[in-house]
Amino acid sequence: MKKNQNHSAEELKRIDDLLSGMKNEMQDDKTQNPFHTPDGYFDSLNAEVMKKLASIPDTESVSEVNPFKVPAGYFDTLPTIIQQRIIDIDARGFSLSRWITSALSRLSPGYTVALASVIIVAVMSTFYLTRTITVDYAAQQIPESEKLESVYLQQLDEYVLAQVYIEETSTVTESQDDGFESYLIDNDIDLNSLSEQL
Amino acid sequence: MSEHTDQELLEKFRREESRSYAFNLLMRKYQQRLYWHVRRIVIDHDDANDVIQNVFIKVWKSLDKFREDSQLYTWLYRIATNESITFINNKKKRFFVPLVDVEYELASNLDGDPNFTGDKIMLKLQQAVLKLPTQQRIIFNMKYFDGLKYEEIAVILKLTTGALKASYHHAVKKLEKYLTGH
Repeated sequence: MKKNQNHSAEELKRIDDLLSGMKNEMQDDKTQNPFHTPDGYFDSLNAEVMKKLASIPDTESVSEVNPFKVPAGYFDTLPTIIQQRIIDIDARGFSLSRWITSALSRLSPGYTVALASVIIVAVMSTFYLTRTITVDYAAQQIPESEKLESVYLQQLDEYVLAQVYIEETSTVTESQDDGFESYLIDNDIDLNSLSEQL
Repeated sequence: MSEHTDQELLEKFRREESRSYAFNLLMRKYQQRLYWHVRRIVIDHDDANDVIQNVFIKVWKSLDKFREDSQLYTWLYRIATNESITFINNKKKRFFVPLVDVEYELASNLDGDPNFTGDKIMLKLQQAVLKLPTQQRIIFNMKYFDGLKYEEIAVILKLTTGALKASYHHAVKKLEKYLTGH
């Protein structure tokens, strides 16, 4: 057992010595590098970098260069073209609101308020006078029982009712009177004796 | 002729009698900057021409509503950017095959474009820029070519400066990778 322990300790010491030796070697010789480059890499690196740099735009100067162009005289004619389009649009679509705004802007504030008031009153009056009232007659029908119980009918003057009744039945009464008269004459009945009996 | 300030232009525009004149001056002042911004996004001159006309028509219609909370040119840039993005998106929709990449098509057209006069390096750079996502591309263009500050771009694109810096950094990295790899 003791022999095995001594053997392990010796192995560890050997590894330790080896690593210490490697460390010292690397410290002594700084050019030692585990990584490698292709042959002639550093000879061509400079040219490669210059090539890359040439392909990257210089941010200071490129932003000032405009690669786009416009037809000759474009900016001289553009305002005229746009203003013509505005005139055409205005001519096509007459805007009442714009016309009113424009007209009102020419008036003094006092007149503007007065004119606006007159217009509002005129518009409201027109709406009021020409309004349409719809009445639902079916809903307005009064049931017979309600008519009989109506206070309105009970409060009517009896004289007025009698007059209306007489007017409506006068023609019938006159014709009936003629019939009675003929009947009394034909049957020789005395009108006075009849009255006494009644 | 001295260039009018934005304030002078806006004052003239608000007066009915000098409205058209002020708008003409405004177009002459900003047309080139806005055109090149649009052109770098849509690449083709005819497309850029359509977009820039629409931009100024929108400006004409809505300049009355400009509240001067921001500077005029940032407001104009925002309209131009939005119009360009809308144009690119509409162009993408027009392709029936979804795999067709508009930017790829633009990059390949650039080579034979008579309105593109850049040398090989410039062509390569533009083709690389076209490989970036649209928003990164716009940010790169605004920072690199237009020379705008992060704070200005943030106002135009309604983004934080932190997000912009990160986006620009990613764009540059991608471009470097593309340029050194090809």
